[in-house]
Amino acid sequence: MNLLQLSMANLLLSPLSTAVNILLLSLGTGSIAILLIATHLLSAALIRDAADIDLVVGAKGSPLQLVLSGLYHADIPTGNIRLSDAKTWTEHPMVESAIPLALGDSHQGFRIVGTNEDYVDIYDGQLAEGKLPSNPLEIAIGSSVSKATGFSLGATFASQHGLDGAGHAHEEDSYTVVGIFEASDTVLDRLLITTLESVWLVHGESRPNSETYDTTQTNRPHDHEDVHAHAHADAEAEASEAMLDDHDEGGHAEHQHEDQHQHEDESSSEYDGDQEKQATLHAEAQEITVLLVKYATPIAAITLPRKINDESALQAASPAYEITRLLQVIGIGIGWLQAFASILVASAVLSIFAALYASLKARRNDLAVLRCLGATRSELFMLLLYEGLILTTAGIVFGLIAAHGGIELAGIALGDAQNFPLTGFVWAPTEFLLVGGLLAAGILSSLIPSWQAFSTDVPRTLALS
Amino acid sequence: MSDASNIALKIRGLEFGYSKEPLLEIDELQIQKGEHLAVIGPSGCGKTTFMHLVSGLIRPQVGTIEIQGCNITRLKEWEMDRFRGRSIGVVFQRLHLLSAISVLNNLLLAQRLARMTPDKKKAMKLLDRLGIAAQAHSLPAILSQGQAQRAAIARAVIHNPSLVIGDEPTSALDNASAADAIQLIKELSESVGFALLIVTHDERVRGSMDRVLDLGGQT
Repeated sequence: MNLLQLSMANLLLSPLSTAVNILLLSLGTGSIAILLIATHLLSAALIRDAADIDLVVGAKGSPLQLVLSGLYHADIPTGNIRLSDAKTWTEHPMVESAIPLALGDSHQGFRIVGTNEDYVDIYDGQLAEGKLPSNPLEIAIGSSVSKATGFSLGATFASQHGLDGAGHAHEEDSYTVVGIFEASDTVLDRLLITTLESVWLVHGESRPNSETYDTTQTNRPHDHEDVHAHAHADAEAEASEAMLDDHDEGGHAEHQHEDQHQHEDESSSEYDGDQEKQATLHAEAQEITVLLVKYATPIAAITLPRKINDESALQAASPAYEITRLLQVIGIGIGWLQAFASILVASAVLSIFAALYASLKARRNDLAVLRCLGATRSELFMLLLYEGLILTTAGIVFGLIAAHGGIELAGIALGDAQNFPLTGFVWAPTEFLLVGGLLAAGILSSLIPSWQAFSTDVPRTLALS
Repeated sequence: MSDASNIALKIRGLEFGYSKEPLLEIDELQIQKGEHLAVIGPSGCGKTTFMHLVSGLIRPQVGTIEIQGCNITRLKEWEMDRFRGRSIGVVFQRLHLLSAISVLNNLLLAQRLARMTPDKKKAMKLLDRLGIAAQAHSLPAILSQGQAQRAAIARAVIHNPSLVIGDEPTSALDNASAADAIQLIKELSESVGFALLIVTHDERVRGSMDRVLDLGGQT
């Protein structure tokens, strides 16, 4: 039996009061911790998924929406842009690389991205099985998609129009799974990756007999010589009249799918007739959704976005700027929630103070007896301080367990389709500050009762007893 | 002729008062190890003050108090606290066992505060000797008055003190329990070898002590 054990025993003597104090502090701690962990997860996911992309180029609209949809696949695209318009910028000397993405379809809530191998490379995507898609209607799926759909190599499925899983199915063109990515803890886990031409094909823009495009517009040396060899000549030879959908599901430019099919029928007859004319039309009409740009030089950050915004019909949005803006907006909301949680913590700390103070009053005799038994003033001080620290530590531990456990359970409940992976098995660096602050508050709340224990007038207390 | 090393308590030229007028004046007092002294006197004569002086909770304005050869009036407060823990045992009028911990833990804590390694075996043996081994793991609140007094006596002697001070230790007990408690504490004094100083109004106690110090008459 030592003083720490005695402190513990003293607390257990009033189990209800002790439990209420711990519960109050746990609630406050847990609330703040949830906010800190969520913010940390969000920031980490935003940074990870940004993958050093300097600029997102797409259709005019909200720049934040463009970044969220093009980079994080967390919003509806602002619309489509002509490939020919995008090409103007992919060949710009200030651009090191530009990766085109064609969006608009999904499967079971997971988005299908028409792109090239460079997109996989920026996330360090490694194949667990199979190969990357190289032929029309081949598709590689992320680890979360594989887990959620149960697809294995060779599985076929029809994509759904739109990003919310409510659109019609493209039954006529089924995708075949040819690759499954390893988990990368990036947005890649939640995507289905196919070629641009597959997306165009599904939307009636090209037919399986058309040759492969290389829509990679990269100024650095290209690793895929065979694909590169087909480049622009193939693109011009490609025949298709349909434009990619606007993919606007939230009140933006409305996708006229009926018109599209009508248009497709008409173009089929044209295809049979005049291929050259179609190729010209197609080269002008082919669309992508966004272009992910990496700068060739730091100076590009100053000039290129302005140039694109001013001199073209396109919009350029900087992920770094937009995400900072987003986090600021979110930060205001989080700030209010944190203020509310801080009030909970303050109440808990006051409650601990009140409990210790009341317990001190009731135990003055015990303190005097302890001095008679040989305890020093400092030991009495520590006895009360221990009690405050035990309550605070228990509140912190239970609060953190509840917060991390709650987030983990929420992650499990929401599954893999969520935009940002939720896991309780992370530790936000700001949690150290939270723990430190709470311990300091716990010590502070114990100081007055501890000092009173220190100052106990033993003869007087014994005489009064 | 008393052997100096056999003296448990020695007081010389002691004066103490809460005002200019001294409440307590003791020219000389010696208690040998194993000796039993009753301190008596009317209310307000300074019996409790005397007990506090001897246990080092307050300091005299004049004079010295030596316990086992150590002048406690010269000790710093924290040194006195530790000395008290090691060399003095106290039995209070209202028992004052710590209510949050078991009887056994009350004894082990006393050992810890005496800066001894807690000895559970010794504590259990003592409780057994006092007839309350069965209550070792009980909280003090569920003990009878007599059992609680025995537990308090056990706690006062568990660390082999030189001096045990009792502040009206029998006032809350019936005749049989009081006699029993005094008998026990005297037996322990003989076996452990501590001097016993009991502040009391109780004639039953007074009659069983070796000597009496009447603070009302300063005998």
